[in-house]
Amino acid sequence: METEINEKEIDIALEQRADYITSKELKDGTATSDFFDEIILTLLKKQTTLIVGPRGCGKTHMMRYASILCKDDAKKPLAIYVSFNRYYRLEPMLISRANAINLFHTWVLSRIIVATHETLVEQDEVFSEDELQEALEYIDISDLQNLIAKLERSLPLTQDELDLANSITLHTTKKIIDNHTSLGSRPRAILLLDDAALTLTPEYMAEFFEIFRSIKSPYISPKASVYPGTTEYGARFHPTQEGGFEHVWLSVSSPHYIETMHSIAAHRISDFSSIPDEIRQYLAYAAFGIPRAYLHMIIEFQKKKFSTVQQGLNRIVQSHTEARIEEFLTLAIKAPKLKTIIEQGNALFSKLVLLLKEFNDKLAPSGTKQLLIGITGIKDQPMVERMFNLLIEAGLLYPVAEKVSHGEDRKYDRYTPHIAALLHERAFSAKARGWSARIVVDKINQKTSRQPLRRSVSSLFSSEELSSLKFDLPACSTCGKERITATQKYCHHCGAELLDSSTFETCMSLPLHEVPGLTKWTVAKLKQELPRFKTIGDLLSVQDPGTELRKIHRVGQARAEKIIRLVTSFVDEFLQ
Amino acid sequence: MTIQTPGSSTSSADYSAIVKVTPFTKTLSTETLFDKSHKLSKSSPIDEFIENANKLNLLWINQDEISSEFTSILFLGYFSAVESYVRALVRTLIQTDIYSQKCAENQQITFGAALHHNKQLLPEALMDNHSFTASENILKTFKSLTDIELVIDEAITTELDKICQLRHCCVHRFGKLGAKNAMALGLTSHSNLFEKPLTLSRDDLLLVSSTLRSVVKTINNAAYKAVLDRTFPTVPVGKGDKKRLPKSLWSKDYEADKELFIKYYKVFSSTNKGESPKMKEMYTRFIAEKEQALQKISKGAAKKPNIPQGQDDANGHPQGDTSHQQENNAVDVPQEQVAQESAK
Repeated sequence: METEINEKEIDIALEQRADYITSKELKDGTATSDFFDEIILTLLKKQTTLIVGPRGCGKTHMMRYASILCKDDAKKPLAIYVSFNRYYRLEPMLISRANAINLFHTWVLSRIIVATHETLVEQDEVFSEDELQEALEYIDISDLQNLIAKLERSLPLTQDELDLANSITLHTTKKIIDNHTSLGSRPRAILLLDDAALTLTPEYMAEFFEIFRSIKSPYISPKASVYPGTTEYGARFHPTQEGGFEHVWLSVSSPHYIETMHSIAAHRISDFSSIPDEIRQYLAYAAFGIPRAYLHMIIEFQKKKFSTVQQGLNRIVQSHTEARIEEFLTLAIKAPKLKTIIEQGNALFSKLVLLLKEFNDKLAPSGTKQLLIGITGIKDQPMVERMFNLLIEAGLLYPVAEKVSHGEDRKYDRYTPHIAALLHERAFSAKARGWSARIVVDKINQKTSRQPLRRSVSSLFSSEELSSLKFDLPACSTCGKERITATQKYCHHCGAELLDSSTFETCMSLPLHEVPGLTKWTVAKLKQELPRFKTIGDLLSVQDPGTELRKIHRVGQARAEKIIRLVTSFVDEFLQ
Repeated sequence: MTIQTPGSSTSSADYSAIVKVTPFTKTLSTETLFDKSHKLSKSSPIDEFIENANKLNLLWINQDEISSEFTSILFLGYFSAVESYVRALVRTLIQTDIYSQKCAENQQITFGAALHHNKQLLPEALMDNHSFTASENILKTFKSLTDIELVIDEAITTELDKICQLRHCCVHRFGKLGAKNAMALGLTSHSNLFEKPLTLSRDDLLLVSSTLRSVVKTINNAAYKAVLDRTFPTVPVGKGDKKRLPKSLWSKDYEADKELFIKYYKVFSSTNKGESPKMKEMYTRFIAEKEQALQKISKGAAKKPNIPQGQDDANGHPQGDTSHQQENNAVDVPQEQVAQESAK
């Protein structure tokens, strides 16, 4: 029945995110492998680290897991986990407050202080109120929580709140962390700063990494999770000088790829072992190193809503490919100035996938395969470089770390396009009689051809395409004249200030009924019984969305909360 | 014997004439210098400011190079636009908001102003002796003439005050840094700059003009909030049994409140595209936030049941009674006045 409630789907949509599973589930559901153990070890070490990977690759999982490991072991550092996934709620202030950067600074530090306090309180040891107050430097934690809540709603502050905000300095924060470390009898502290990839608000990003750089001390080691493809972290933070990168995105070319992906799924999926090996491998490759995607695809497969395995796998892979591309394209909504670059990037991605398919077709008789394409000349064209970085950030291209010099010192940057897209394009089933997951998997598992696939930027793009690459900046809203330069502050024609629009507000105006994960039943009921809620903002901006949702027949408190969580998690995800 | 004047007979005896002076051939008729046909702008103070600042922008933004003398003059122009904004806002508030009007009632103006100003411009006279050359003056003016306290982050007033010091140098010393200004800006970093001229580059002017624009918009939003907050009290007043929540001017029904809300909205909003959210949106934001604050009070009141709440009085003003919203009457009527009228 199309309109059945199907609660489970909402649950599944929620539980694949590490931020929504409980600590116990996370601890029990974590696979161990050399790859992950090494990352966890780095997180616990006394060094500044950026853990790098696209959405869903396990950054949150590993940070939370590291903090759980430390919780019960007094010899380990005090592991303070803080998520900044709500940073986008402060984005509207960038167009409405002169002191937005200061307020963001306060918000980051306040979140760190609150998390530090909670980490200590959650320990088994009991501390007296006086001890806790002293450790907090007599800052009232509920005042701080109230301040955070107000900032996340972009509400104006009272004089008292402003005074509190101004009293939260980096120095105080470091002192509070030190106080808590010593009260908890820990040797030192690690700061696990999750969702720190503030790529769409460069102003906040620069401020964040300024804090990140300055907060470190011999007793405080900051770690942050970021997206790949980001090359600028603000004027004063240079990641290679301050610490190191730790890549969490598992390469499909890694010798332990299948083993690692399987061990993750085995911990989280019941009956995983009953799925045929070639299907498990096929979907593992299609997941392209993203555990969340792998879990999702396995669950889809287990539903068995298909007549043949081939049809089932094709559908799963196709819908996954489309969803990844759709996600990439939504970047143009989040950052309208990137529209042209995103559209061209989409075309480029298809081209790269096709080139590799054709190349692999040719390689078929040799019994080898090629997953890489080397491209030269990217760095010479800033717009093209930005395009590649955006494709990497979206997880559509996997960048191979080392550069290859060839011949006359030509520099190639090498990439693997998303395997799901290659599978969808039948890149590994050329000339095969019939189709089977086994044939495809065997082909991917073949040796890599010694013959490389190489292209240059000038062969991938026509000169017209290259010259058409630009930032899509809105015309002056007052007189309608196009801008002359990207950095222009005032309109050259009418003198008006060139104002940006808020991405947060754009997100709030997206249709509520299209939020992924909402069941058909919920959408139908929302349309029928709460017709005034057309956009996400319509629902989230009412005083108590839960009460409104409960007006729908058969929606009680629990179901209402789930719907709200789904919508807010979509907003968080959209705005990351 | 007569003293022979040195030189030829054409030389002057004026021993003060150390430089040449062109005589006045025409004197200034100041009365002709102002545009008599100019009508009082119907724009909001913020729109007027934006318009003035935009006009100044057009004088230089299309030029690649500008002299530091010109940047200094432009800078003074921007500052003048800020001062003009503050005057316009205070004046408009006194005309529109009854609470501000009440506050201004006790203030004195010169007899000349009372005699010749029209009613609309009369509040200008209240500011004849006010100067807006430091953030403190601006905040004090709002407090003394409209009884609102602007909550503005120190980070913003600090930037404004820096600019105020620069303005002082430009107005009084042709841009050279005076000792007092150096002290205000910080001697550690300015002690070696005494009597050095201000040289604003193109980028500096861009920064100054944009800072001033942000400061004005911050003042605008802070004043809007403070003025609205006063119309919808959420904190009980009085002591013991007499503790009660003053009634608000709002019925919380948009259609009923529209007429009143538009007055406030017009004072502070901009008609420039993309600048101000729509009136209904701003009304909804305001009422939603106040309702939330009231709920908090209710929760507190449940614990201490002796706080009567104005808003909860189903028969009381303003619910179901829109007479207070009539033109020229009552937006406009503050609580004590409402109370007095009901007593009659």
